Parts: sequence; structure tokens; C-alpha cells
Amino acid sequence: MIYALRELRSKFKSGIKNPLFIFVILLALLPLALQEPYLLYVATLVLIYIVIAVSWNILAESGQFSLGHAAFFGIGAYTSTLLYKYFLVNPLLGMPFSALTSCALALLMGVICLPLREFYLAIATLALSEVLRTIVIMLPEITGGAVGLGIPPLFGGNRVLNYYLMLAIAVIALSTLYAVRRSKLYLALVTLRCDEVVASSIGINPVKYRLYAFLLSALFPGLCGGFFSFYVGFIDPFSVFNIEISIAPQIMSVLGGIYTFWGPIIGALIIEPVKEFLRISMPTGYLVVYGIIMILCIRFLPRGIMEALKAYTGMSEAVPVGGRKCSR
Amino acid sequence: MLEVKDVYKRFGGLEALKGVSFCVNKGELIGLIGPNGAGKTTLFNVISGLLKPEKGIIKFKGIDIVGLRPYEIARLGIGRTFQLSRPLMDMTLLDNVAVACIYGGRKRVGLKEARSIALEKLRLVGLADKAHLTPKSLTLLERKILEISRALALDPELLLLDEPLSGLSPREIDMHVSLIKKIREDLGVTVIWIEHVMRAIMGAVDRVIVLHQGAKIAEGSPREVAKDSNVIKAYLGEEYAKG
Amino acid sequence: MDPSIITFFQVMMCGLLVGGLYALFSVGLNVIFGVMKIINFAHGEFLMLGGYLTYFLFMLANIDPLLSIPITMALLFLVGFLIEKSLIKPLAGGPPYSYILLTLGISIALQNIALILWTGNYRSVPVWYSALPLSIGPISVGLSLVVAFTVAVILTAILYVLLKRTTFGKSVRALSQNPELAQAMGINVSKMYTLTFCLGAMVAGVAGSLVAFTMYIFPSVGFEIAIKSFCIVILGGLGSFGGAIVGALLLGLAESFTSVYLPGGSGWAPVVFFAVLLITLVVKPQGLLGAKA
Repeated sequence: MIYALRELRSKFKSGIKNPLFIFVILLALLPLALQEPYLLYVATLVLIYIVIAVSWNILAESGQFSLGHAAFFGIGAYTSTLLYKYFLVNPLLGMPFSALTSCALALLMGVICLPLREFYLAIATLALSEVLRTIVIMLPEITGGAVGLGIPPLFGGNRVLNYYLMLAIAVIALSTLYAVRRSKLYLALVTLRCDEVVASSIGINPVKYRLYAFLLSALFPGLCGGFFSFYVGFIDPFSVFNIEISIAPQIMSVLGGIYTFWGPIIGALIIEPVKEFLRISMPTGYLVVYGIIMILCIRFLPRGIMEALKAYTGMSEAVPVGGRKCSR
Repeated sequence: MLEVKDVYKRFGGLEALKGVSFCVNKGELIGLIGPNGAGKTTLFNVISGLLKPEKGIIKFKGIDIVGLRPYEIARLGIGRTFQLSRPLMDMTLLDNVAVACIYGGRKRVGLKEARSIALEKLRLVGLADKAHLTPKSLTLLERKILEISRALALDPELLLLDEPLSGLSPREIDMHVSLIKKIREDLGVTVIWIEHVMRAIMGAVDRVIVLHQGAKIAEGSPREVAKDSNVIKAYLGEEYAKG
Repeated sequence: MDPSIITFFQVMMCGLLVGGLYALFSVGLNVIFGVMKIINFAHGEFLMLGGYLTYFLFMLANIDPLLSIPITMALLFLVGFLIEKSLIKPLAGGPPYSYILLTLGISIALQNIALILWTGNYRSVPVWYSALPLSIGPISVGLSLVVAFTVAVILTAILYVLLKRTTFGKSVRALSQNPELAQAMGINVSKMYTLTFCLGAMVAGVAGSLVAFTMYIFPSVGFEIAIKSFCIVILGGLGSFGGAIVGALLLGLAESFTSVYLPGGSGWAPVVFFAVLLITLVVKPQGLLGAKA
């Protein structure tokens, strides 16, 4: 584990000329172009979804297909909110705790899901997410119940400052997950996904690495959740435990290219703005776009945009190719 | 090196292994044969930790390994291949071997070092030029070779090969057998080899163990075993001396 | 008789009746999984569509839901056919997650289209027997629920006979147990997949009709019931017909009992059921009546 951290640090330092770096610079300059506060709001949401999508993807890389990621977001949101409400903890201090509770939940979920595969795992994670939501609703004295809680917005509601805070979170998340992708931990996860029996036979402890994957994929969504409640100044179980938060990263990952780094990012960049735009022009049933995109994507572009790009540019199979569960 | 004593394994009502006992000494090349359903792969699964026997003791280098998880057994130095080769399809050949180096090798290595070790191992078996491709583009023989390289990346002291020759042409069989012999001679790895292709295995191994319906029915040199009446009876009705 | 005992039986009765409806829906889902080995996340939408169809047939043409069942069956069969042929079949041989995502996508799309077309208002079909209670001794239950339950039982029984006695049923079972062998014996796998899917859709549609006059129909009604149903089939054992029935009745009972006996009522019901599900998954993953993998 120490080895992994050391590797992470050296990767950090060598990554300056990286496309990720350029991407971050572009994102940092964005508020100059988007003066309209609503657009900045959408941009912040996009950042959140980028982080959640890339995080979800890491879990998928280990072969664990979660339909309950909203749970991590939700618990993060409630952690920072309740810490503020009961202990007057500054949200900026509260957010790391959000990440912590999210990780604790991830461990719990991971352990429960250890014997489960594929569909069973998906349903179990969905069930856990729903249970958490129900618990929150049923304890209104503590959590505000279905009605929710109002809290003072961060930075007095200044959209630009909030955007940069979220950008900072996103940068930390993306660089960490980017470094993980280049580490030996990643190889273990992909091996687990491809063939669990083979993974065992070459010395990979499946329990350890499945749990690592859960932890890694829950950390940043939890952090985002912690940020989100203070960003909108309001929290309620239906918005933060919304199943959409569980489903969106999947569509985004599949559209952009599952099992790749940029896939979920591209997916989020496309889908989230489209969704928000539709929400304004078509307040009822705008989510139909999710459904249609999902259908079209799976049907015609099952490996996502990244794969189509690779084919188009004629790149050879120099990097792990995503899309298919390993077949014999 | 490997001591198997009185191993019993049952699946519901079926007794797959009945009191199997034998020893394997360091550096030996042992053949494990028997008609289909004899329990050979089950025995491998028990040794490598994928299955837990109901009864019996298995000692590897003096260490009791029954009850250990498969990955712990791999790290102790037992590598294996599978009957139908299972390459990691979404990873390059290089990574296929590198991941074994990292997680199963004797010492802790980083990713870069593991990849260079892996490249060396691929070079030894002649797959270095395909190191950056995925197993999708490999022929059957190449996949089997990859499977063995991956197991060897563990620097194992004991290698379990499960029907490595199945599906190969006669020429490929000869190539693969010489690879296996090389592994024993050059690398000093002890090998237990399950096989149905008799002509190949009988000529190459030091000793043969014969299983039939879960029990060991014979053990000895290839010539002794070939003449053993129990063995002939077990194989009667089957194509004898295939290949 | 002691009023609390009456209540107990009342609650139990109610639970069993609702469970019967869930059972009808779940066995359809179960058959699809058993044969095609896919989980149809859009199954709930077949129920929803059946419900809306029944509603509009009643409202616009004054057709009693029981009479419109054949129409519902036919139309849902067609819908299932279209979906299976155009979307599901082409996916064969792809990665396992693709079915989950595809059917999820279909589910989201259909739910939202329904939302757009018919708004989120709760609909229900007020048949003449809706408000009438049926008394069995000291216990009284809604007549409509009893009627729905009866229909569900009849249909489930027909389905059972279909699967166990007819040639079609035998092909279905052969396919679910050993697809390669079934194919080698001349069963047209592709056609069977389509038929099975359509059958499941049809049955779900009828379940929707039943829901229409016993409960409410709204765009996401199917999704909610479907989630419960996934839990039901897992609890009962994926692939087990009897398991789906048992699981469904258990869920009906659990919902009924928690809504009456637990403080906070029906809110805790999902937690209770999910908890049971999770325990089952960990202890006996193949479900109560499922076969060992």
C-alpha cells in the first residue's frame, strides 16, 4: 500500500504536460466565459457528475457493477449537513468527514457484496441505497425527514467561488484516479474483472482488492455530496439519494467509453448539459433523454465514444481495450 | 516438496477424490493421468486452494496448505494453468504476465520493474513481439504458452499443468512438450502434469500417477504403469495411447 | 373473537392478496430470466402500460377491466415483440452489463414518455366492485382486491400448466436448463426467446390491469413494483417458479404487517424487505427455493 502511495506521488510530479492538465486549465478558465450564474451552476453540476462517473467507473473496472452510488453521495451530503446542524462544523471541515463516512459505507457495502456477482450485486447495491434513503426519511427528528433541511449556502451563494471549490475537488479526484489507473492496483482490479479465478491463482487477494475498489469509488462521490448540500443550501433525501445519481454515471461511462479514463468524463460533459437544457425546455419528463441516449448508445455504440475514436484514428490496441467482459 | 495424504473431496453425493495420497520430490516431472472424470482437475483445484477437501493433509515444503486461500498458495510458490486456457482478455500480454509478477512473485516489485521482468519472460517463450497486443489475436498454442508464462511469472517451485496439450496439432504438441521439459531442466521447477495425450507424456515424465474414479490406482515409472493391469482395465473401452 | 386476532388475520389476508398480484408479475419476470438469462429492468413498464391501457379503455370506451384483459394481453404481447426484436435480440453475445443498461434505458424512456403524455397524476379505475367490501366471517377485504387476486391466481395457474405440461413449456424449461442441448435438439432458440419475452410482457400487462382497479396507476408504478419484484425473485430463487410465488407472498405479508404493526407504518416496509433480501443474498444466494448453482 505504501508502494502505491509512493508511486502516486511520482506520477503526480511527472504529469505536467498531460492532457488532464490542459483539461483542468480549460476548466479553470471557464467562469470567465460563462458569466451567467445559471450556466455556472450547470458547469458545477457537470464537475460533480464527472467525478461521480469516473469514480463509478473504477468500481466497474473491478467487475463490480453498482446501482447504488447515490448512497455515497447522499451519505456525504447528510454528513456535512448534520455536522453543521448539530456541531456547527464549518462545511469546509465537514467535507473530509463526508468522504470518511462515504468510505465507511463503502466498506460495509463492499463486505456485503463480497459473495455477490453481476445482477445480484447490482440489486444489492440498489437495495442498500434505497434502505439508506428510507432510513433518512423515517428519522425526521434527526435528518429532517422527507421535507429536508435548509442550510446556509457556502460562500454566501457566490457561484464562482463555489465553482472553483468544486473544481479543486474535481482536480484532486481526477488526478488521484488518473494516477491509480497507471498503478499496479489498477492491474489487479482489471484482472479481477476479467477472471477472478485466475486472479486468485496469481496471488491477488480478491477480498482486499474488491474492497479497495469500493473505497476508491466511494471517496470522491462522498466528498461531492458533502459539497453539494451546502452548494444548493438545501438537502432532502429524494434529491441526494436519487436513483438518477446512481444511473447517470453508468450512462455517461457507457456513452463515453466504459473502462477508460476519459470515457466517463466525455459522457458527463455531453449528457449533463443536455439534461439540464432539456429540463428547462421540457420540465416534465426530460429524463426521457437519459433513456433514449442509453438505448441508442447500447444499441449502436456499445463501447462508447472512446472506442469509436480509437477505431477512427486507427490506434492499435496499445492500451487495455474496454467494452467486453473478458471472453475465452 | 509436495505431500498429499489421504485427501477426500465430495460434491453432494459424488465422491470426487477418495483417499488420494502421493509424494512429489523437488525437481521431478510427474504425470497425472486417468480416464475422464477421474478427479485430476479436482485434485489440482484442491492443491491450489480453490476447493477445500473434506479430509486429508497437503503439505507444500513442509507447510500445511489445506484451508489456505488460493492467492496465499500462489504466493507460497505453486503456479497453475487451466484446462481451457484463461488469458486475461482485456489486458496486453505484457500486463498478463506483469500482474502475476507483481502479486505473486517472490519479492515486491513496482509496475515498471514488473513489466520489464514480464518482457523478459515473454522473450524466453518467443512472445515478446506480441507483448503489446491482447490475447484476442493469439493462436491457441500462443495462448497456452502465455498461460504457462503467467504461471511462471510467480517464480513458482511447483507448477501444475492441466492438459496443456489439448487441442494442439502434433507439431505443436512436440513444441509444447519441449517447452515443458525446458521448464523443468533450465528453471528447476517441479511439475505435475495432467494429460490425455499419452505418447507425449509417457515419454517425458519421471513418474506417473494414475487416478480412476477419485482413487489412485497406480504409481510408478511410465513403463510400469503402462503394464499395470488395473490401469489397463480402467482405460478399457477408451482410446488407449492417443495422439 | 378477540379484535387483535381479527386484525392479525385481516392484515395477513390483505398481505396475501396483494402478494398474489406481485406473484403474477414476478413469475413473468422469472420466466424471462430463466430462459434468456437477462434481467429485464423494463418489466415494470409493461405493467404500467397495461395499467394505462386498462384505464383508458375504461374511461373512453367504458370497458370493464376484466373484459379488457384480452386486449391488454394482445397489445402488450405486441409491445414486447417490438422491443425484443429491435432492441434486445441484437444485443446477444455482448457484455452482461449491456442488458442491464439497455433495459434500464427502456424503462427510463417509457416512464418519462408516460409522464409527458399522461402526467404524473394518479389514475385508478373505479369499477362497481371497487368500494364493496367482502366479508369472510369477521374479516372484510375489498372486493376488487379479491377479484384481482382470483384473476391473478387463475393466470398464474395457467402459466404453470403452460410451463409444465405443454410442448412450449417443455421447450422453455429445456432452454433455461441447457441452452446448447436444447438447440441441438432442434428448438429454435431465437423464436423461443422472443416468445418468452412476449409472454412475460403480456403477463405483466395483465398485472397492470389488476393494479389499475385495486391500486393506482402512475408513470413510475411499474418501476417501483419491478424493484420489489427483483427482490422477490432473488429471494425466491432466480429461475424458480414456486420461489417467485413464495417470495411475492412474503413481500405482501411483510408490507402488510409493517404498515400496521410497525410505528411509522409502511415507510419501514422497504427496509424490512430489503434487509431480509440482503440477509438471504449473503446466507443463501440462490434464494429460498433456488437450485444450487
